[in-house]
Amino acid sequence: MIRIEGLSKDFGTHRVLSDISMTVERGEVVSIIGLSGCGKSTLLRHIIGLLRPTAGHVYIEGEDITAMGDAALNRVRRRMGMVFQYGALFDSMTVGDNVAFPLRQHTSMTREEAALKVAEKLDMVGLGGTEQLYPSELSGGMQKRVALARALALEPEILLFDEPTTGLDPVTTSTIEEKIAALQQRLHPTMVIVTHHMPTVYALSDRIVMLHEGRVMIKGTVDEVRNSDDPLVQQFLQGRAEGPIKLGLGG
Amino acid sequence: MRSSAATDFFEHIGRSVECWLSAMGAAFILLAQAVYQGFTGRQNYKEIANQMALIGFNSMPIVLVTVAFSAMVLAYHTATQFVRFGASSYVGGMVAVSVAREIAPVLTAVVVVARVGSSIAAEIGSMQVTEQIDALRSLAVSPVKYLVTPRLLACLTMLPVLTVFAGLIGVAGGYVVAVFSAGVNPTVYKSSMLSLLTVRDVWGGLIKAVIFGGLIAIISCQKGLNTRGGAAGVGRAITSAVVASIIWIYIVNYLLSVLIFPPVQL
Repeated sequence: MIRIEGLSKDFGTHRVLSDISMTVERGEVVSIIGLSGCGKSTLLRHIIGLLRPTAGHVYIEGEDITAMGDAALNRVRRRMGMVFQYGALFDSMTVGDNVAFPLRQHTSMTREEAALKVAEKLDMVGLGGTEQLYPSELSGGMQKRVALARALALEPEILLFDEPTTGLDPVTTSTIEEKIAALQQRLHPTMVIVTHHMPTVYALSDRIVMLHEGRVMIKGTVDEVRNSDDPLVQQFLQGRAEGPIKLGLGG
Repeated sequence: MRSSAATDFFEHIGRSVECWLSAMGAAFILLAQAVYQGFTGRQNYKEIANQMALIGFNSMPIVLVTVAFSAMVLAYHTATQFVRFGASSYVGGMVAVSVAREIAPVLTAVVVVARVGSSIAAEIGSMQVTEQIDALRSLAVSPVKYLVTPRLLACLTMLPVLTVFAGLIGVAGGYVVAVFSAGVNPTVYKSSMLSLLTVRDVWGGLIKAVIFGGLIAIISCQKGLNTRGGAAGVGRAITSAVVASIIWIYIVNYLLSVLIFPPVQL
């Protein structure tokens, strides 16, 4: 369903991603893990065409989106939904308008039909009845759930999550994990989750891809990655300061 | 040492020119995209109407105050000087022509830059730094179609409307000051105005207003879309949008004045 071949990305003279290849099968949940700044979010942005690669290709259902014009790319994007790290809700719109936005843009639903769909999606993320609130009146966790409801509005086949639980308290984190897991069981979308929060990865993933310094360090099932004898992988999974990964934090 | 300083100087000039040309190219591309999007697909008429109200109706008071008082000052100085030299029969025409050709379109545009251009750059800039623009694109919505085209259409249509009202109040203000403060005969003022003001003066001013509207919308949207670096970046985008718009309005105004109002051959 999603196939990435030899993808590299440079920002100026700085290479952020180098020769990334991976696949995500239909209905699979793949987590992309790695240190902050290793290129996880950049990779996710390539999957939905927000960035064009310096080299390589991204195929969605066999179509190479890196060679597409805007109109064709938008046709592919309608089958995808993305939840941004900080929600990226439209702050001048109410929660209801945010969730209804893709419906108004891409369907010919009446106002009443759209309102019913919005209520259904907000119920799905546990935020029924919040249609009239503005994003600024919501907590960070609620904003991410509204962003999920908005991403679900067009019932996409592919869902992309950029750090869905980062910066949230443990209870909210568990709530969001439960919502994503329930969603997967109910609708079976293909999911790519970018995170460095390992409990989220273990709770939701079928497979894991670990990036390090812009390259694929390891990819495999959760057990394969957990049982890897690579010291770098183990240092990351266990969150240890000592090991082959050296952060230039000074001191 | 001297040659190194000279090299640095020319490098700096070269980089500035490159930057300037690249910004101009990007503005033309954005304009072409916005116009193309205006003719394709479903239009967001509600957003266009909203922008027309924001840009047109809400800017009206400050535009009227600015142009009225500027025209009154012009009329005051013109009338007091012309009366001294016995040329009071030219005051009405002089004020009306100046208001129609320059004061109404240019001051309206400058006020709209300050009030609307800055707000366009701030709104789009803050959407850019909070990933709302990326969210639009991820939802298969073109930011150009959703954000730029309505603002461009609203500026193109509302600047001439504002300019018409500004011109009317400017001429009225000029009349009041010239007649009641500088002692110009009202009949002479009116007949001077009617004999010297031509249709070309009015149309010329309105053409300028349309072009200024396009400049304000495209420059402000472009600065907003190119915003980087959080709140400070939004601040820089606003400043840059206002400065660039005003400079371009002055440059284009000179070129249009020469083009539309060539010197009369005696």
